[in-house]
Amino acid sequence: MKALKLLILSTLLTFVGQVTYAQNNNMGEVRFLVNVDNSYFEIEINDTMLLKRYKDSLPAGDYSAKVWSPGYIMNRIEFTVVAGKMTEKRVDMVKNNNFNEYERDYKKYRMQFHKQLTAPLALTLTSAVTSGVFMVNAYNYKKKVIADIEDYHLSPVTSEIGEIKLRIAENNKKYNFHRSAFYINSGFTFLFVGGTIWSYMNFKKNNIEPDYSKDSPFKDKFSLNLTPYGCSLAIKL
Amino acid sequence: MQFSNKTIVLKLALLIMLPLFLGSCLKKVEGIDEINTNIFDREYAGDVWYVIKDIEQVTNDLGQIKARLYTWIPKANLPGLVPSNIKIFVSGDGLPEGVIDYPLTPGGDFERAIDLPYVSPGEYCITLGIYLEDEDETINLFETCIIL
Repeated sequence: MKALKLLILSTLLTFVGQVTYAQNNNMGEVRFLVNVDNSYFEIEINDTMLLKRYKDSLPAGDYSAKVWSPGYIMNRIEFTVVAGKMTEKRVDMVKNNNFNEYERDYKKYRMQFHKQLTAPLALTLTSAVTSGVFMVNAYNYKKKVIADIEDYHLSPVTSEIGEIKLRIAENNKKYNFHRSAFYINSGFTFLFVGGTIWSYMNFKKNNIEPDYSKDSPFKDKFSLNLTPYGCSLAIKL
Repeated sequence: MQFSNKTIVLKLALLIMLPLFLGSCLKKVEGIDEINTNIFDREYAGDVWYVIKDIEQVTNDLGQIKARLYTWIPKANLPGLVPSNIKIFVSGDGLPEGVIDYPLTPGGDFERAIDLPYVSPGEYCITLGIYLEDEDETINLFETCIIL
């Protein structure tokens, strides 16, 4: 009885091993070299399997597939997978005319955006920062002048008083320069702010952002459902 | 990059309002026109910095009759920091030019009596100036007279 059990178990293990070996023995690798500049593509093999990677193991045999990438015309290809070997399939993709047009329009749109918003905004910010620098410098000089005026009224030393007065004159001159520069620059900043707002509103009024659908044609065809009880892959033929 | 008009306007307005708010304090520095009020300043442009409080006729220890002027340098006319003693140049009617010490009083000002040769009742004048010992120079000379 014990010998019979051992015989059945060894037969079962041998069978499973054989099936697994036969299956592995029948597999081959395929690598897709898809010529696209966005580094993304999807491959639908035999209308039933969706690949989103450039390499996979498939059972040996002949296959037909559709290759798609955003902005490119869908390409139909055929390839053969040989058991135990690596097959490389080069796929040249052709850009969609609509996408070419979209890319041109979008580039134009972005150029206009930079011209009408980025550039004036940068100018405004630069002007505002410059105003801030003038303001900070003016404050620093003012502090020095006030401190020196206090020292002037404290000092009983004539030579020191002379030096203090020289410092006051020099720093006060710098203070006046920086505060004038601050007010003038602030005026320009105001103008730039107004100009930027006007320019941006003008841009929004006269330009619409081009749109191009980058949805995969395989999007609704395959669906993967994961539940606590298991998972299922649905394919709509 | 998505912007709404309102957000842009608000951000830019804040950006501008902040330096303007801070910059509103950048006015002309007060007190610049008053940096000629220190009596130790060569360019002192204030009034006479000393006061003759009183005058009287006195006879000194040597039996000489003098017109004694009580001079006073008020604290209000002095800088914030003062030494315990200052040197003052003095000249007056019948008095040879010279430099005398003015000691600091407990009240924070300087006082000194100056004797002029007595002539007769009438006007007695003296000239005082700040003496700079290092430069051997006198600045801010003022003449004041008083009637005996």
